[in-house]
Amino acid sequence: MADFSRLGALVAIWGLLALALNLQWGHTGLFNAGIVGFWALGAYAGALVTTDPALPVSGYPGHWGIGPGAFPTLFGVRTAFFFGALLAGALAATVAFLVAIPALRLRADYFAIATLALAQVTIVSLKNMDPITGGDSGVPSIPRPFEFGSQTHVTEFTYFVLVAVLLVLAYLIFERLGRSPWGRALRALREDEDAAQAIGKDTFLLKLEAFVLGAATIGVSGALFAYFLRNLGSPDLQFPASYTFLVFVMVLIGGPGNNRGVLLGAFLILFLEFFTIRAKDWFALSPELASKVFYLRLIAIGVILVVLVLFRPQGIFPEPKHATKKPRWLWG
Amino acid sequence: MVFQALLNGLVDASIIALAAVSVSLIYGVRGFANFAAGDMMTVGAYVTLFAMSAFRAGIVVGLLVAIVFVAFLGIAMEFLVFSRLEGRGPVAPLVASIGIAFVLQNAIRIVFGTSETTLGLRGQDDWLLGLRDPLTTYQVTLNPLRGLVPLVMAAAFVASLTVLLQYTKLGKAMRATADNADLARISGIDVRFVRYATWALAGALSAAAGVMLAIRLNVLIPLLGFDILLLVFGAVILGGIGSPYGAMLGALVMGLAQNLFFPIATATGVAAELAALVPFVILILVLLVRPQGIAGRPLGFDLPPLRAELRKVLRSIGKLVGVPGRGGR
Repeated sequence: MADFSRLGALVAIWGLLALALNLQWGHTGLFNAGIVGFWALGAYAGALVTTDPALPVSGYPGHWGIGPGAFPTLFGVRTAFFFGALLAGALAATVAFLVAIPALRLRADYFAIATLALAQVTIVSLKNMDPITGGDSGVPSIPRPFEFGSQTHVTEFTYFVLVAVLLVLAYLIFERLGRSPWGRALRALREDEDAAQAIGKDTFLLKLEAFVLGAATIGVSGALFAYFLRNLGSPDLQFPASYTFLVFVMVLIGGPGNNRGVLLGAFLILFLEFFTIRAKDWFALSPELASKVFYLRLIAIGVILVVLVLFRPQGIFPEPKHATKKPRWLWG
Repeated sequence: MVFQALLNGLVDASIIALAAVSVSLIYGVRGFANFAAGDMMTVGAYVTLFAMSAFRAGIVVGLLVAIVFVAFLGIAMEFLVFSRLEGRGPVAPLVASIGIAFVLQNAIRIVFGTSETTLGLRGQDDWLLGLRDPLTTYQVTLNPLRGLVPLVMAAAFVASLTVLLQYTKLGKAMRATADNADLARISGIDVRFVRYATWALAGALSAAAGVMLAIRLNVLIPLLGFDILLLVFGAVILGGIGSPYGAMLGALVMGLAQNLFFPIATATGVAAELAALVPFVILILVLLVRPQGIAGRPLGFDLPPLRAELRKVLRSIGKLVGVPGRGGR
């Protein structure tokens, strides 16, 4: 049960990434290859706000964090988590804003390499700013917003519900934005930037807005991921560049430009991962075979990526043609 | 110390240059950034390892097998994937190359395992093992095997590439295709053949770069090439994308900058780990200030001046907080 709650929470957290990339790439055509950098930034911001700076862990150097005590408790809810996620989003948005002003002038493939390099710089810096972030040892013992002691399955399930609610909220907002005149302008500039400019759209500002909004979402998702993991800096969490490409696979499978599609993509990819990791218990595989299955999954993802680009670039759910529909508030 | 860093930088640069020329050729002739280049390098190094143990051969045979194998790998990639993405812009083949990178990287993990290994030199390589004693002059040390061999190898490849590009019919056809594929086609150049030839050449260069990197670092891991991919892209962009000679120059800057950071770090007390950042910072700065690179031509770039855009952003912020602008838009 706790396993499925964890899978659900992961789908919601990665779903936020997929929604953000769908706004940046699916709608606007911005090839943001630096997702993992904004994500790590958000994760560290969230973790530092909610975790005590000096933890009673032997050998831990400490960090510049604030700690949950500095924030009030409203109706029994510790608000530190709210502020952590907020700061994570704001920090990612600020960095995105500063980077976007010069970088958005670049052509798509240069923009990809620039954002990829930026992510690398962000992650190496975070791991080497020892006094601020705790360096390589990361941030251990990050608390969850709701803890239920030894009842782990309750803790996991409440967290799943929390992030699922946030994902639904984000979905509604992004769906509404996509149907708005602003969203239409984004798709217009993706198809033909000169034409969009010719009819009076400020394409630079539109791209900037989409990039910053997407980065803020990625930052919030990072904070949620930090709370989920409870530990940043463990050897299995190095924020590799391949995470960025995993989000691209999610968007491509589901269908760039279709918010429901990219969420399905996130679910499919994470379920595949869940399945290949669990397969060794279910089918009693030898450890050697289990690791082969694990890497076969990544090969399958690569093959899926190539096949989709070749034969179905519109994904499972093609982009809806909702320009003629009258947008309704909330659901349309 | 500084001279040693310069020398180390030169050796690193020669390896980066091999890979960067490969990426640059593909960018010129095929028009997209090949994210699978790093993993093509890794495949080259592992194929060398395989050939050396399968044929009980020395490193020279292993290297030749790897060069042929990765050249055919490149041709297969063009045949199966990239030739079918004609006319889809630079992003579709880029995404496909990321997919291929996933496949290559994890195929290596499955076939050869994930653990660290080395290109163990064998009996046939006695003449190379004899080169293991470091040469020292003027307090500068150069390990012949791990330093001189990559340097000589890169020089040989670069020289033959220059001859190929400048003096042979194929090289001229490649340059013409890179310049304008349509014009090349109506001039009677077989553009399809040129593309396959370019992939073969790029594959050969990648394989050589991978083997040299494995020799230089004395380590062989599934992420060998992927880890230096950004450095390679940095060199390519720095030199001007699509220009092989610019890529060599860019590689030189990247290699030197990274190695010169160490003496600077010890002198100023900065953490030496940050050396990994230097190339990326250079890359980002170059992209922002001179995206066409050192040797690149500004052709094909639509770059509005930075100052105009800053003003636009400031104006819209002013509008948000209610500062009256000068005379509207």
